[in-house]
Amino acid sequence: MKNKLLLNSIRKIRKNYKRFLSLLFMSFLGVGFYTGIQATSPSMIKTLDEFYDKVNMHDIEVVSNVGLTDDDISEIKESKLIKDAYGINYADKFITIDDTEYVGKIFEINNDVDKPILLSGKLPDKENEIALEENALTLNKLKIGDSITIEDEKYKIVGTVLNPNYFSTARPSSTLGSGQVDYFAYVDSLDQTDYYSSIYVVVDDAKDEETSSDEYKTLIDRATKYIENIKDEQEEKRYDELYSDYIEYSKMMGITDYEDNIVDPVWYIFDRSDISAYNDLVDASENMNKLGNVFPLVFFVISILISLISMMRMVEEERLENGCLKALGFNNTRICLNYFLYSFLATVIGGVIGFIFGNIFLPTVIWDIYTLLFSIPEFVLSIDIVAGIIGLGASILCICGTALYVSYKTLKDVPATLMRPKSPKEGKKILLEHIPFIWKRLKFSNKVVVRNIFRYKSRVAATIIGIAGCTALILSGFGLKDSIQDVAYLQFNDIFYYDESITISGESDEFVNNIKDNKKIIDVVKTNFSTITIEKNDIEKDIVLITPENEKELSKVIDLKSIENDKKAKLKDNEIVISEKIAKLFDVEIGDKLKIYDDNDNKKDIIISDIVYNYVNLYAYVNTNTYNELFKEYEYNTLLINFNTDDHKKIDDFNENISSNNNEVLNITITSDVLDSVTDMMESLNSVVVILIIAAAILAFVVLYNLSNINICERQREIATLKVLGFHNKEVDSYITKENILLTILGIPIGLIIGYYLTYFIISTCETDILLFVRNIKLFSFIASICITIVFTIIVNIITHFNLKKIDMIESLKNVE
Amino acid sequence: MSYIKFDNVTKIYEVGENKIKALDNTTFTIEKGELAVILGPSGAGKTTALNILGGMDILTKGSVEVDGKKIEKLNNKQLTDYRRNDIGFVFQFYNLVQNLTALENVELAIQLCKDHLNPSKILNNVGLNKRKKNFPAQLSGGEQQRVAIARAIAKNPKLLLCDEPTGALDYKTGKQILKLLEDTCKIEGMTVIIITHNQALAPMADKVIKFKNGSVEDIIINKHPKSIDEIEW
Repeated sequence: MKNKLLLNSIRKIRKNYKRFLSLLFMSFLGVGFYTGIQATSPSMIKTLDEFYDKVNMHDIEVVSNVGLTDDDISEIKESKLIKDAYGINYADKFITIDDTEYVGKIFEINNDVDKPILLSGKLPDKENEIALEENALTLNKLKIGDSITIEDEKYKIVGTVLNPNYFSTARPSSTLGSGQVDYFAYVDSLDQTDYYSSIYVVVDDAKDEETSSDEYKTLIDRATKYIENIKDEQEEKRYDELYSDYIEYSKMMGITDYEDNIVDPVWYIFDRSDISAYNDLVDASENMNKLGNVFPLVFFVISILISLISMMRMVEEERLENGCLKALGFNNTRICLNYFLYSFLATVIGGVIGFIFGNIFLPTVIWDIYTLLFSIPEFVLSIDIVAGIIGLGASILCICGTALYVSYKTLKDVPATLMRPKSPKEGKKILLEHIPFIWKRLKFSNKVVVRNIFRYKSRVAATIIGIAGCTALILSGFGLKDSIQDVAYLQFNDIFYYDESITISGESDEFVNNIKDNKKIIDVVKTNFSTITIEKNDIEKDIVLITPENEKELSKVIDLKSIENDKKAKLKDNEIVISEKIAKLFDVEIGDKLKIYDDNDNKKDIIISDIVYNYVNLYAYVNTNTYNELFKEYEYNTLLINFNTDDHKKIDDFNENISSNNNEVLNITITSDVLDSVTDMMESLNSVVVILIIAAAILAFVVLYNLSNINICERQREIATLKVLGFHNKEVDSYITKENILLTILGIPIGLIIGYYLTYFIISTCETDILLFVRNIKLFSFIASICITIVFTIIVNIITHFNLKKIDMIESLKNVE
Repeated sequence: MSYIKFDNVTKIYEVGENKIKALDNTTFTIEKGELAVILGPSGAGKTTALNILGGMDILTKGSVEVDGKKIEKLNNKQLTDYRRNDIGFVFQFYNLVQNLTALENVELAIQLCKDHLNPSKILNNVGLNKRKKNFPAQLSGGEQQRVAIARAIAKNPKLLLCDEPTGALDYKTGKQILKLLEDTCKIEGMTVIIITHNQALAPMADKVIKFKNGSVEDIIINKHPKSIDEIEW
């Protein structure tokens, strides 16, 4: 190699490989974590998008209460905006497995749109063959080849499938049984010839856009508008058709008083955002994205700090050599270039490895956790080059920048000064010494510790920041967990403490009295649930308005606790009680006004009389008088029920009984089921939190280890002196580790404070519109964060012990420093 | 029976593949209360001998006895105790703890041993009564070396080992330091061993041990050692 200076800087890497590795690792962590978390969210969306493309997922679904026809399909296809439309058949039926009835949503196989994903076996191609979702088999210990019964007909299980609409654990509601679909299934044909259950619409060009992107949404909005335009006409056509069918039928049967029996056809138009699995995944990805903006920043700050100290130390150690080079006639730039090259190589190598590792490993691990929730078979990585470049750029800028800065600063001195040993950092009296009251009481060894801490200010500051950062990250991990974890439990145990809700089609006192007579029932509270729109300052939100028929009765099932004074909120005439999140979204207080859209779409002012605790969804409460002022005549449509038993079997029996014997029952929701499913969702977030805690822990460890190492290097001579003076290993340890311990004690409370605010910051970025997380970090989390930090300090102290033991007295004292 | 017996000591350093013989069958003795000067060019093994004697290094072959104690038989912990209680070291570059005042540097050493002297008095004795509360950076080289000597003496050791104690000092200051060491030996009755490459110091010693190439070339006993005040160089 011709350039000897270059050779020198390459040899430097070999000589200082530990420092090189430490810089490399810092860059690796910073870039890896940043790009990894950044890449996770797009990867999740890309996974979903490719999955949808593969199965030719519908963009819009049209459902009608009386079914849809071929004419509807061809009318929809008329538009250039629509690529294709398919008639789909499905039906909710009871599936009997080993004498237990489950609600099944049974689809007729359609291989053109929303293609079923075959997981094992084959798709049914004959009568009396069925493919079930995998859970139906595993939970009931069934295997392919076994039989199940649907409406007294035996079906042979030929395969397991995944319906692309239901890749999460969420299942749609049903009018059958418990009110919720248990399993979906596919059969070859449902023998449903005169109408389609729904139409799946594929929008032109939508496949090319990434689902949930703005471009995608624009396309869908346009197509939806078109379908809404033809909606009325098609509904009328359908009415006429049904009418003529009916007349024909009646004539045949000899009936004369027909007319009123025909239901008005109504179309319902849904897009992908109405699919709960889709929403869950998009929400999860957005949460990931928000988290990804906060945590990597902390990583970056800390890695820069470490690099700065590392490089400072290196330049300092090679002071003599640099003086020599300078004396030989090399200019400052050339020498600085040495350090730049050294740090540049470390940063780039670490950064590139971090980029690759972060992009592949982190999203995959996080996705692995999400597979508990989402059963999309193939995970697709979205490599985020831009984030990589930003991360690497930031890393280079910070680490190499500090290297240049530090070396340039040192090299300002003339060679003669550089070649002389730098006078050691002088000791100074510290402030505390002027307070004899305290100072005199300190033991001699403690005095030394205190004074040392004030001597190495920058390193000490870095250590405290490192420890505080560690504690803060760990605490915010735990705090996040606390805040998320309790939400579901508080909502469905403390606030909504009814056991189940029954949605009925209209008031029916007979039905109410009927269930009141049931021995299992303690309370039946009549309420009205309706979705209304409220507005203030051009912000509009759909919320659920709950109107109890009798305010006193409501307290048996819902706790309306005011956030003002923790007392029960009262429903007053022409005033509204809103939940906390609504107050936050609209930024309103008690006494402020909101506007409510009434039945005629007119906005009406209403005063907020109270704000109540609520965590999931947006709810508001009014009394019947207020309701009647705003809307049409009050009618109850939801019964909130408390049982005197927790026995699931008994409750299920009751539910099945009332839903099969009463036509007015539209839906039954068991509170504990909701709690379970929400809890499942929260569990997945917990795992993400675990990753964060582990990452924070690794970082903390690296920081503490590095700083402790630097500390020892800087003070090698001092430590050797102690050894010569006859300090035992233990005494030398305590001389150094006492400092670490003191710094830990100083760093932890700072970390707890930072962590406290960091938690709330992260929570506020993670919350969706319908969720309010509990602002409550548990004592355990504080203790756990403190303990983990202490454990790390202890481990580092143990490593320090061995490093101290290795210090050779003779070598360390031999040369002039 | 001699107070210090250095008996056929060999020390081999292994640096990678190479073996370097720093001491080769070195033998000498020093009596209690003697002022011994070890003379020799650099690389002759003087410091190695002193390190072994001071319990800072371990010999490869041979035996070292101090006041009836076989040094080579001591384990690590015992060696530390030996340094703590029996040895006082003075180095060319003082090796004071920068962050401690003169007085505190002395206190640092004596907090370890049972049988120590009053640190303040010692500092008075070495002429630093007005500099006790100063930090090393505020002291001149000679003053720093005085602190180092005070730190070594305060432990009340059996042996005071000085490795080139005047190497970094000017003539006048160096002479004052040597005077201090001489007094420590003659007045306090401490056994003092001084390493130097300065031939001129030979007359001040009770015993001069000349080193060359890792072994003792010559031992001269001065019946009537000169005071340092009488020596010029």
